[in-house]
Amino acid sequence: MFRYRSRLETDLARWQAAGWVTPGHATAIRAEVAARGVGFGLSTVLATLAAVLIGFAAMSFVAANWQAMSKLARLAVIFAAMWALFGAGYGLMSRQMPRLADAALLAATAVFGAGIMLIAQMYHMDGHPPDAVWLWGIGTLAVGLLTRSNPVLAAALVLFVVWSWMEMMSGARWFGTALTPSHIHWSFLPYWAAVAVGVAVTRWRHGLHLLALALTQWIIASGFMVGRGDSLGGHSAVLIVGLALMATSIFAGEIIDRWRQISGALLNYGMIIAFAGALALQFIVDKSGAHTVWMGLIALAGILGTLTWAWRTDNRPAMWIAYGCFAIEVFSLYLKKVGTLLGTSGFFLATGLMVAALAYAAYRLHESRTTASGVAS
Amino acid sequence: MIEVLKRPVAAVIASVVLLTSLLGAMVFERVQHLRNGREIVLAIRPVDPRDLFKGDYVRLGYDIASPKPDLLTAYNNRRDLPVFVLIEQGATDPAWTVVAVTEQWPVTVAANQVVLTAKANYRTLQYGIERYYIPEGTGPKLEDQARTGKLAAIVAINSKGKAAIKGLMLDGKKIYDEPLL
Repeated sequence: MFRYRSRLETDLARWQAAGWVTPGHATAIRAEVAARGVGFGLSTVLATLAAVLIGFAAMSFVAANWQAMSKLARLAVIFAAMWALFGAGYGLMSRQMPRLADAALLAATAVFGAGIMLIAQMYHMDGHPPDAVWLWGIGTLAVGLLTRSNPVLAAALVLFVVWSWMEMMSGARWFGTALTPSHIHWSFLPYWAAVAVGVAVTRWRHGLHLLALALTQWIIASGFMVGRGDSLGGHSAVLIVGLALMATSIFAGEIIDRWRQISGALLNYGMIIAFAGALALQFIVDKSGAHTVWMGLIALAGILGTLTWAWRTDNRPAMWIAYGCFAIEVFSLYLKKVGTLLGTSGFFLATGLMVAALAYAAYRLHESRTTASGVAS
Repeated sequence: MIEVLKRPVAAVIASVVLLTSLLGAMVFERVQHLRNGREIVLAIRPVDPRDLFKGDYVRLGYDIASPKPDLLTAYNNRRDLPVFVLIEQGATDPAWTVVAVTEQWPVTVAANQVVLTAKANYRTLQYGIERYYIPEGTGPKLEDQARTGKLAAIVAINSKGKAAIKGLMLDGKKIYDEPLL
């Protein structure tokens, strides 16, 4: 908000100088922005932080296991807090303060989670720990869908991700130095889809990114859930899924963008998934290093190809992700070594020269294009 | 976003009712279980006396958690396998011992026998009653008592074989006697 206002200030000065905006208009614009700004930016952030603090207060209240109060009294405290926060949420909604109402509802669902823990503690329940997080997620999801509150939907998604990790790790055992995971947690998908329905209903753009991130981490993690985490099939499947998403974005991008402008984001998440799979194949599955050279070359070629495509489609996030992938890939190759250190040096020199040649070719291409367009105009 | 709601009152009331009844159902189920379940007393031995207390709960190690190895040979390499455990109280000895571990509910259950649900993990059985939450800071006192006396847990078993802790006993006397609510 503050950044927008300071940018607007410089823009207004420029527009006034150009004669597009009169001083009277400038004052009116400033007043309008100031009126809209009050109670939005900072108060929303503070209210959300307050919700988090209230949630932690409720959880510490549970952890203290304060026996001076009877079970019924402790339950009453939790219920009263939850009802009061819902009441506050409704009050803020009807006073046209939807962001603050969101924060109150978020706090209410946090207190609900504390209630689950309190009951489990009071009755010494020691069942399957992920079940408690699952129940918390279900309640939070229901509130998010009923009230159409984006922060609550986001909280439900986070809870389902935590639940999924707890389920994946609950069967994991250590064998020597390797953690053996248990199984792919397919049950995550329907809950992810339920949150997606909520996000579709509220038409929340940032929610789409949250959903994509949650699914991306699930796909990458699932690759490690096959066998002992170093299975060829598991990580190949991750790589193929990532490549398929990238291919969809590249070949069907125009059709997709006619519906919604998401082909760029699809490429980005596809690239992260594909690179995670490729990295695992190169440095976890291929323990002996017998395939390092050709796999490394393909990975670098893929990254450079994606970088070129990102540049052509003006997809800045994709370029940054590609730079990141390039850095991680090169550093991993350096650590793994291609045969001997001398061999590694030769590998990097050869690839360096190839990329330099590509850079020169790209420069010539760019130059000939600009001169050609210069002549045409 | 909340502003698109047609009837915010209904949404909030539905939310309150739903979350309240979820928590209420948890309490109700547990209270019914503790009130109506068959009550038995199980001997506890500390798994590792030095490391018995972690934070605000006690880890309880039950005698019936590690039965004779030959009863578990079929489940040696299984983890988190749901099983039914038939335990029996001797005529003279009040202690409960494991008679059989099966994947189906036992066909015949005598009057001095109880069926418990458990999870088989390698050579041990977990009954979901291994944690006992204690008030903040009271760990050391209970630890001392556990070292000098004999600890036991009062456990309620419901009709489905699920176990729930009702209280703790030291040398036959209740040390934590908790009301249901």
